[in-house]
Amino acid sequence: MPASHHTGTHELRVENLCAAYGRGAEPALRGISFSITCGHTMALVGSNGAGKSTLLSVLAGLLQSSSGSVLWNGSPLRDARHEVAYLPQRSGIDWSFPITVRGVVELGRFPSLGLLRAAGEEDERIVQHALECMQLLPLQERPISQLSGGQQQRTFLARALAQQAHVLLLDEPFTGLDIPGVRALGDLLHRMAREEGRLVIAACHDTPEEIARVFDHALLLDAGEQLFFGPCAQLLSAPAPSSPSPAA
Amino acid sequence: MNDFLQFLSEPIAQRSLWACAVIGAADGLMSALIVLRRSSLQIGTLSCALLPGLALAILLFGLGEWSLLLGALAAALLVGLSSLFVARCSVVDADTALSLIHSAAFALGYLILLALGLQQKVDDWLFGNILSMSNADLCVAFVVAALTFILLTLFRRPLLLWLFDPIAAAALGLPTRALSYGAFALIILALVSSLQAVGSFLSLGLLVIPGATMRLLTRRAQLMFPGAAVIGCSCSVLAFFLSFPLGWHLGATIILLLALVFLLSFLFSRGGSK
Repeated sequence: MPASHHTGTHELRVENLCAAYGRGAEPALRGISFSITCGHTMALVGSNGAGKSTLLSVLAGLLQSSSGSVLWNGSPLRDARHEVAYLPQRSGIDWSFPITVRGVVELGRFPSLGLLRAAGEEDERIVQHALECMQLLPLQERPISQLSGGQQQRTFLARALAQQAHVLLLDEPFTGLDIPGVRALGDLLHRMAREEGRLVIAACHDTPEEIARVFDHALLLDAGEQLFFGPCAQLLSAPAPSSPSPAA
Repeated sequence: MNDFLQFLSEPIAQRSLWACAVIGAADGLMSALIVLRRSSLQIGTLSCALLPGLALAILLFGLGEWSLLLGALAAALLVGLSSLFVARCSVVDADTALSLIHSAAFALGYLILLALGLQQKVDDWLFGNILSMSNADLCVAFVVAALTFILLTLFRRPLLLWLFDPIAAAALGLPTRALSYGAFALIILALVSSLQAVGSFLSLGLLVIPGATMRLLTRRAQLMFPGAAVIGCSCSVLAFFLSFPLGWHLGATIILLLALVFLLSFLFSRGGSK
């Protein structure tokens, strides 16, 4: 079923979430609660060390929560990992790896194909559609090392589309992009939520104006605590974090 | 020429030729994984660190296939884990810790082998002696090669995802730690099985150069695996036929041929496409 059919019906619910890096360590997240449905875009904002990447790691299943719950349509999100596509920070990727744009997008089919099943016509069609949506067809045979920052981000978004994941988690996707690149990527994220029916959650370091242009919701974090969750328009009236925040 | 044809009819020559083909192909296949993991230096260090394990295995259990295999595995694990321990518990980084522990372990292994009166064996383990391979050695090489081919083919897709984007692989629920340990275990097996053929010094070449050559020639990681296996196998077999008439050491000839293929690929690909 195309993802757009799920707009407004599939829900991510986070309840009183706490997380720490190791037993006995100071909690990196405390009492995070929010709920948001497919078809929306949500920005995680806050200063360095506020807990944005930690929250993304918990949602992606990379870090276990110490208490609270993360539910996808009422069931634990960890039981539906194929529904989540995680796009790490660009600095975390080896861009000299010998792989083409199409090769990266084809990796998105791994959760559906598993170990033994060969890619069939349907898989080819899905990969082709993902490349087309991200306007990557002319670049599909190009090595990823020869792409611009914006094209690299689009390649990863195409992989998420090929995975047919409903939840897209992006860690600082705008870092390193020039202004037109930020605009273009922002528009794409917006389109993926509105037209493709995905839920887009991204950690950002941008100004409130820029955030409001791309995202409809925002979650403001400070030292692991939630200061605000709601429509972006209300972000400016949110309580100021104790440390200087780029969103303030 | 007649001498060579007569040599080829001997079982020892046929065994060596099989060993060249099988070990060359298996190590070539592994080399793609090693190059993509960027762990060539680590493997170089580990290949020398096997020596004390072999020496201690001979000292404790005598010369035997399984004692050597277990000794090598124990040494690799001990050196790998102790370097991690030193790196975590001090300001010394993991590479420095691995380098100093491997050289200390190598010195210890060398002294034990000399004390056991195995001077000739030391040379064989450092530089290999493919002609001294027994049927049992060849069997071990076959089993390791088959295991390598099956596992790297079966796990091709998750391996590629893990090598390229380990965080996304973990987010998708792939057991990345198990993949890492599995890859490490396969590399150690490949090292041990090729020890007798090309020795601990030269096995590094067989476990790195074919993959590095394919890295220059292709933009697709999945093509590196079969390509590197073909390069490893064909260079090893060609070296077998060249080394006898030239009177060269077979292990060294294999590595020199591989280096030549790398050099030609480097020149023709102008350093490879970035």
